[in-house]
Amino acid sequence: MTGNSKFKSKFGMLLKNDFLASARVISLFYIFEIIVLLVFSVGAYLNKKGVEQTEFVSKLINTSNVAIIIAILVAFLLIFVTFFFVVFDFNKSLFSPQGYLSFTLPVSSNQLLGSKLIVYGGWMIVSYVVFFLVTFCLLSYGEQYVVGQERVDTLEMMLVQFMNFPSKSQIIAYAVYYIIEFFAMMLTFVSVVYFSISLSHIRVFQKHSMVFAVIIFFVVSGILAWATTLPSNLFELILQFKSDGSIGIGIIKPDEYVFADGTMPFNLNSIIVSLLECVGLFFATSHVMHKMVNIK
Amino acid sequence: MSKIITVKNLKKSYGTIQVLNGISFSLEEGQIIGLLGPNGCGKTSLIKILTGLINDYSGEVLIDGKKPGKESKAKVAFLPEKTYLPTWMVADDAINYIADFYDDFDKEKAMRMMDVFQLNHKQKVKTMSKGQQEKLQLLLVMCRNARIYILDEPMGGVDPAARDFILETILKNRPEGSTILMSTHLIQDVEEIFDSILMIRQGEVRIQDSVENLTKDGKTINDLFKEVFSVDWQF
Repeated sequence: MTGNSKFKSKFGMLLKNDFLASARVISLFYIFEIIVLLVFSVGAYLNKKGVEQTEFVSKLINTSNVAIIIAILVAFLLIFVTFFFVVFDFNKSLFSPQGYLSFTLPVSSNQLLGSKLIVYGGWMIVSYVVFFLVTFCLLSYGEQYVVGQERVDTLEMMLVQFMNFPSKSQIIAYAVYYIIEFFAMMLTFVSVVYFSISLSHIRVFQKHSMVFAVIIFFVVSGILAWATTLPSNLFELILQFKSDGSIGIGIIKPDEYVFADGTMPFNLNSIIVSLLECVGLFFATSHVMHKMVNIK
Repeated sequence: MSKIITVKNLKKSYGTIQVLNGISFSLEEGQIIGLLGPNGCGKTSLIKILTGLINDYSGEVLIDGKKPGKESKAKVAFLPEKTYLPTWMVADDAINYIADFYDDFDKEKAMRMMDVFQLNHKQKVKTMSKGQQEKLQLLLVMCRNARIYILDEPMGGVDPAARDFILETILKNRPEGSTILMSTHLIQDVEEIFDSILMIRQGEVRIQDSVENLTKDGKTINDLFKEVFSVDWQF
């Protein structure tokens, strides 16, 4: 095996084991969510088909109505469960006695960190996506049970507006832009969490590591929030999607925000700054893990 | 014999406390070396540096010619004093985990040793007794065909019967030509297996020599240890 393929295989093993370690708990919530959605689907199907309302069928339909609420709550809970894992499993697997195992594996700090960032960042993104999808789909479907007519009108209006974009390519660009922005935001968030936890385990902070992790998190988040807005005071990097499908890119001053009809502008500043912050935090965390932390 | 571990002018401090004061030594390949010294003498810091757990030190440390890192970690099998396995794992998970990362791990041997050690393949680490966890960790380390074994107090806190079991397991499963660096307080129990001794006192190498040279005037290693360190315990 060459050095490069060995590198890849060890990193692959890290990804596999980090995924398995997290999936054993997080997957339980997904399985529960699937069961709840199945109950809802059966009830909704029976209701739609107008099946004869026996006592059993009517109980099933009523249960499926409750299942809408449970499904949304579980999807919401998934975000917290995933966040719990991002924080506690990172801390436990690296900075408790388990660190004796993790830090003596034949892998670099970059690989250890990269694997956790990919796996847990991935879970965070999936959890949010599931929450939004479940909430949107169920609220749209169960309008007569849990959503007032006013809310349905708003949803319909949003959809009409969305469909009224000048071109399909603009709709895709709109979706891609927000997905990338969301990914960048999630990765920055997880990166700040990892950096805070790692720095809280250097010798000076170690005695009260949890307290210092929280303090470091808020300080770093504050600095990054300030840094993110900094370039926008000077210039804005704009990506334009025109109605004819062409794409333009340009730098403008904040007070020059005038665009032709049918042009859709996207501000790239925040995405670029977020990605730069992620890269900076990744190497800073890796350095702290490699050079500064003390495994008790 | 070639030098498998070389340390030159190694210094390590925690704040203002200097735990290793520029120590230098080298260890020959194929030997069993006893790393001896009282608590707080710098043994654990030295072991952490050799295994790549501590990286902020000054001086030169070479493991088979390389600085502690990815490559050296692939050659070193480390048994820490603490129980370190994730508690959610069952014994087979732990074996698969180690097999995933170390090319020199003999999985079939590990499966056989599970039965010899009377460990349950499907038992969670969380539900194992401390003795069972220590057996499992010993098994994971000794089923590697490593160049170097670093064992930190492998017999600390176990009864005399378990000590014999641990010692026998180490000696029986050690690949030919491999090096073992073992830190211990229980000198009497293990001194006959050592080829050489590295004694550390207050962050400095106090004695480094072969057991043959050290015991030629009839003294045991235990006597020597008392001689060197009794000064720390005088009224």
